Amino acid sequence: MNAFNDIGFKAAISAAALAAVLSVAHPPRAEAATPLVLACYPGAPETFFRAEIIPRFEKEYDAKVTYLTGNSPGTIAKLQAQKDDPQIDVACIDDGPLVQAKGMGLVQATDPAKLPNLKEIQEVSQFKDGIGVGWGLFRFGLAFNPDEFKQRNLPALESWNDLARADLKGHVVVNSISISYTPILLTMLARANGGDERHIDPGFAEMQKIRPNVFTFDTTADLTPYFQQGEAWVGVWTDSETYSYVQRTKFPLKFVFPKEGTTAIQTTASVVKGAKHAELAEKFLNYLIGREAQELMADKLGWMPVNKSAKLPSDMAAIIASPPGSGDNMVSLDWKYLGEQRPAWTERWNKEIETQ
Amino acid sequence: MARQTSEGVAGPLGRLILHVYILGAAIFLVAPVVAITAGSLTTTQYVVFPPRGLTLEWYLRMFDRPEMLSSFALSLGIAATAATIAAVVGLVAALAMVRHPSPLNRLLWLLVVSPMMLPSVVLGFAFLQAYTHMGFGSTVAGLLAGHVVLVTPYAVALILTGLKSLDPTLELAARSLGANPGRALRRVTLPLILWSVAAGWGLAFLVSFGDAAVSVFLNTPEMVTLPVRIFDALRYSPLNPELTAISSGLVIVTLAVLVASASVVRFERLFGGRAGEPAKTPKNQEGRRA
Amino acid sequence: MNPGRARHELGRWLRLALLPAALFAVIYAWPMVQILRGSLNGFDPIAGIVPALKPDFYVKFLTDSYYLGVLWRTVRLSLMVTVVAAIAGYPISYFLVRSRGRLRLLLIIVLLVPLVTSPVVVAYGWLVLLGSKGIVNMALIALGVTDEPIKMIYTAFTLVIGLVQVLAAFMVLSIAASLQSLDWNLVLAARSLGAGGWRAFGAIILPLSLPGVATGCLLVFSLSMSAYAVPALIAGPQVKVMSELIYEQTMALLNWPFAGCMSIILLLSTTGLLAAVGVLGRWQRARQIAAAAAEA
Repeated sequence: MNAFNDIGFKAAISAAALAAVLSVAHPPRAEAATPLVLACYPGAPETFFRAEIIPRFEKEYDAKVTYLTGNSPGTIAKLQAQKDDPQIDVACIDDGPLVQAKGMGLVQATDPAKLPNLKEIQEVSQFKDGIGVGWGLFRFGLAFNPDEFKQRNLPALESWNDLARADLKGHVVVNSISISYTPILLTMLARANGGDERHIDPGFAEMQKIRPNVFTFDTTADLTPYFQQGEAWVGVWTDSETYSYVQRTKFPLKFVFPKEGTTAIQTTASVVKGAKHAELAEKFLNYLIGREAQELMADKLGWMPVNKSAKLPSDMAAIIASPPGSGDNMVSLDWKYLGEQRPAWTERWNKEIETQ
Repeated sequence: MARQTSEGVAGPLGRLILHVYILGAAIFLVAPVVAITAGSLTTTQYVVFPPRGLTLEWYLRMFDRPEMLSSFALSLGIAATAATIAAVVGLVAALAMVRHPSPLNRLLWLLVVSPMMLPSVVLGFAFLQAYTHMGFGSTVAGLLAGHVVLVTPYAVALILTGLKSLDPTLELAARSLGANPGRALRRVTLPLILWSVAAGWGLAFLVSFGDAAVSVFLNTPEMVTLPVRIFDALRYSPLNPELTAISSGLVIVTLAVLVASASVVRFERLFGGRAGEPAKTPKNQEGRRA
Repeated sequence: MNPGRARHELGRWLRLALLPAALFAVIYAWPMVQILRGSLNGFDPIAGIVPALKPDFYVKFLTDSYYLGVLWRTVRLSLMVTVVAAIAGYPISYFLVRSRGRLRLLLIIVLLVPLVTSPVVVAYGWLVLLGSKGIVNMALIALGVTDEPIKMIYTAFTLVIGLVQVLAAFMVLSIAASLQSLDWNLVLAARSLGAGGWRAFGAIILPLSLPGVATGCLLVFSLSMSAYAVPALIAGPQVKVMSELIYEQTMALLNWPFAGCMSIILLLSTTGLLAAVGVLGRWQRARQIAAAAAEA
């Protein structure tokens, strides 16, 4: 067998392998049930949806749900590419990028009458323009390792400005500006020092003070490795993620809301503009904010519910020192304004903060 | 004379230094991965190195996830196909560039090699927009096309190197002895550059198999490649030992696939003999039979 | 060459080049032309892309010292990675082609491990090893070299190390491809004529393996310029390189025109640098050929 046949041999095997693989990788499609294409987050949320939400929804509404994974910018990129012929019906987008998705005309409004569960959810999750609903709540604050604090006799964390405390040098983790949490941190720091989102300089000034304490600016939106390796003692994070993490791994972490107040981001779901199965999409939105789905989410995924009548898991209080009141007492941010400022803040952050 | 092995250039001291250096380099190359792999043997719920307690539980859990296995199959198929197309395209392009000097070659080279000069997020995004516009956005064809563009530069670069290092008079000699161009190519040139072609194919395969950035844009509900799954799982879940076990398990399996295919197509022979020994080329064997 | 022969040559070139060129024109060149076109658009943070034909983003990038600094840092670090990889990789290639089947396979596998592993895992591995509670620091403290853990991770140094580790396979395999095609009888001849080991190396092996070294440098340099995962995860965003800016604009700000603009600039920088080196190489050889011709 000469050498050339070896290549042909390899090619034949590859082609056969591919054919075999593709015939296995394509699951057979169900007939009769109405299809629904859901573009939503990968990882733990995907597992949760596939295990809990989708089977129940499919049964109740005679539907067949396909789950397309993507984070917010990836989903928006797909919506933009498919603008003339949308393949997606429901899109999960964080509320920051949602402003842009709305601006680009990629999502459409829903008549509130079609969403009876709307009255059960808190105000901050209902959007005035009727486009989309919030379904998972992430409130900002400081996650910290209580063991490290006890070991070193460090005073408790109370304020956003505590991030600049000298005894935390080199052990604070903050997200990079490419993660949507960071503009919010800037706003909170500004508010804690006499400014607000429209007067952001105090925020940047405080960030300069925090800079020497920062171990790294994380780009992955996952602070857990830094805690696990003992590099980080304090991290700017959200209650849902902290609780979710501790629930899963039993790693010693606690969460506290600073006294100057905080805000929340939400995961939202919207009906895509020109969606092929808009009616079913609306039913999905309604189901998602309903009590059953919300309680399942709090229990299995560890995310804070937006539905006021949803029961919280019993062990949540031990980990999250709750603020007085629920999501309704949060500082609400002007997302549109933040969106407009983001490019300028990003550039300023790159030049002043995230530099060597 | 033909049976003598070239002694190489290093004396005994040189050889010792070389061996120590290679050992050090090998440790450097695998250290982080070994740390995580060993750390995944921990009994704690989070990765810790050195591990506290030892258990294979996390590795065994890997097989409980059917979507991981189907993604694995998909990645395997895409990578093999993309690598083969890349090798063919690379071979043809390299032949054109080396055989026929022409100012157009610059452009051709740029065309097939420049994809690796761009961050893959740019490629993925560009492909998503363009392919959707052209009608094959969220399909296997689109995913495959994206991968072909992604990995062809490696195949081209390596095959070109092999061709350039080759003595062109060898093929001329075959031609002057009466072989037509096609035969000369197949019997003389190709066997001599087989190492480059194999290495080019291998690198293309690995890059395609391991790609998450391009695949993230071109995925569809049914077609999610394995690295995307792992990358996603690692993003939205804490770095627990189960996921790192999957990742290092993936490394082991990938390399096992390579080793297995190496023995199937007798890579030994494709690698050529030890440099300096008489090579057991197919041509020699054919000669004996004839 | 008479015109008929030239046409014949072109025809034969076309027969070979048509397949790759046509394929890549459709699945690569066309999307990139769209990117180029897109980079001339305007952008509004809320409404998204504003169709236009202005070079504003190019002007913005090329007149801002911060952005130019990032580009310069990317080039500088890529050159460093290339040089380190070439010097460190050459002995490995030599050893590779001189070793036998099983050992050779093992070495190739070792080279490929960093390439095949998810960058998130590799980054985590470095964090585990180089972090303040990691093995390296523990050893340094135990040996008394230092009292407090040294910060070794998330620096430019880690970026170079991380990239060299991941890209070593490309350099080593390229050089090995060249060494493999080498006619070792030449070395035998040189030795039998009395040349010492190092002389044989310098006069024969090194020059003949230069195509491999050149390819290795091409691969490592290009991949360093465009690398995202290693810099973002292992070096951290305080050592920002071009790909991180592009990623930021694409994914976080959805400013696709600006991202496209930076991509084009990155591409031109890389190809420009490679072309400059290629040209230099040609001048060198032209001078050598002229000198040799003058002697003859």
